[in-house]
Amino acid sequence: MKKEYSSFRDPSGFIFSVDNYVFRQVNNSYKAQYDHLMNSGLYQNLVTEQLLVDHKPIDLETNDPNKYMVIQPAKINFISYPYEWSFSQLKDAALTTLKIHKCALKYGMILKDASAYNIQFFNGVPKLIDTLSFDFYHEGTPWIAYGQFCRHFLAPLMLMANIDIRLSQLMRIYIDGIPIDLASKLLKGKGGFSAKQHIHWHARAISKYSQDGKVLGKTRNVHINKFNYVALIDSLISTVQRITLKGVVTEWMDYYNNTNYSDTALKSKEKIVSSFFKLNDFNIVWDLGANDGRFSRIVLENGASLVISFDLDAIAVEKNYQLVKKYKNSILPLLLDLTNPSPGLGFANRERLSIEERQKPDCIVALALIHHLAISNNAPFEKIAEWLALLSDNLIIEFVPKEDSQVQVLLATRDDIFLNYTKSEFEKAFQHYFDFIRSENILNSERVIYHLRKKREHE
Amino acid sequence: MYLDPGFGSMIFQLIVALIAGLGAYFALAKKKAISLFNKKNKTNMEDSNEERI
Repeated sequence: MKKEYSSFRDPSGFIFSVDNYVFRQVNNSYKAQYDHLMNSGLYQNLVTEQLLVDHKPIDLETNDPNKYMVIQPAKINFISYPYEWSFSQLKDAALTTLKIHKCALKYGMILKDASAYNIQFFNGVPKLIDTLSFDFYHEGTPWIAYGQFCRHFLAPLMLMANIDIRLSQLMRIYIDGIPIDLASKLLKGKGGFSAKQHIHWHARAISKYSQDGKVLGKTRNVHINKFNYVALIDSLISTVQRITLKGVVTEWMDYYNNTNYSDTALKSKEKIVSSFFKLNDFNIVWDLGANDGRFSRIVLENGASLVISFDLDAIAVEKNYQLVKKYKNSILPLLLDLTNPSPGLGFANRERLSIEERQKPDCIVALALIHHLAISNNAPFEKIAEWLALLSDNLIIEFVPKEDSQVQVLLATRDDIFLNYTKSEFEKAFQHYFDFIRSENILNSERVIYHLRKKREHE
Repeated sequence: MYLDPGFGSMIFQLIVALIAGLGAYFALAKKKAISLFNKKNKTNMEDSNEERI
């Protein structure tokens, strides 16, 4: 039995795994709340509405005296974090949180926390994964998680929409959400009346009452009647719905219209990738530098059951997410800078896992990527090969030669110090870690796609 | 309760909940007034229809 490190905060229970199966222990202290969740109809309602992850009770022997019961939640394909989500992923996660909170109230319960980390995506649908997040509603009591909701959702959404879409990355620094005073400073009065209320005035209130909270029992004097409590939830829902991205243009958003591929080359590339996947049985695939997921979809159509589509560009990930939502694909689009991927974060660096700690895919797809890593990021082929071999046993990679116009664009503004950037040097470096299974030239281009398999001695 | 709600956030919630509550109250009153007006109009129309018959 391996206890999940990140679930140490909540005294209601914890996550653990046995033989790669994930379970959740419900503690005796949470018995009343858990029973009410299950017996009142709330659980069934939330599961039917696809807002909460479903689970089944499991008869598992443990000698923990705190144990009330053990449940097995539905499998999560890949744990992702808010700093890896696009704008709409975070917005949909915020709306899911508020909808659950509102629905729980009808059954005499509330959401006792509003952590963005409690939401995960299932084929484009955000669901709450923490079954122990519910508590009883006591008339008059304010929403205990209001501050957390503002830090985890409102602040990043408003900053992304009004200042810069890249500010979602502040969530990577501040693990319990963006501090309200910082959001207020960065927003500089932007964001309309909603930002004025939930960010600017909120920041002033936090600063004004920072000492008063230390007087024991003072919070008990705060009384909010049910009508106003519900009105606040409704107002938060409409606030989140009104936050939209306006006129954001990024380098990559029109990628497939701005590439140097001819129709023949693009079709040839699609055919090669399809055939490589048909010849193999890859279940979980990571598509690195996936842009809007065009090739992730081809991979999925040719046998993969799950594709994680990583890209550096927030709008490309946004586009991909909108497509996943529309077609309910088992693709998870995520924002990731491959030159600085998500590290282990939080307490002891173990609360949030680094990208390679979370999953080992059966295959990695790296199309039109190598020149960005080798030239834009100055990474030697040897280092790239070593890292990719660490991530997966199979690699489908495209080599883009220096003569290619896309590489020439990268070299236009800098000295060409990349004398080793040749096809033979690429093959030499990757041969150290991988066996070359097959390679095919893309028609009407100088590019080559390889299927490489990790050498036994590196496994 | 394992989450620190923050005293400032709790106190401040009173104000935002009050603003939201006022908004909801007026929205509700407006809705009632409109439905009352529509009902009255409908009754008037029905009356005039009856007169025609």
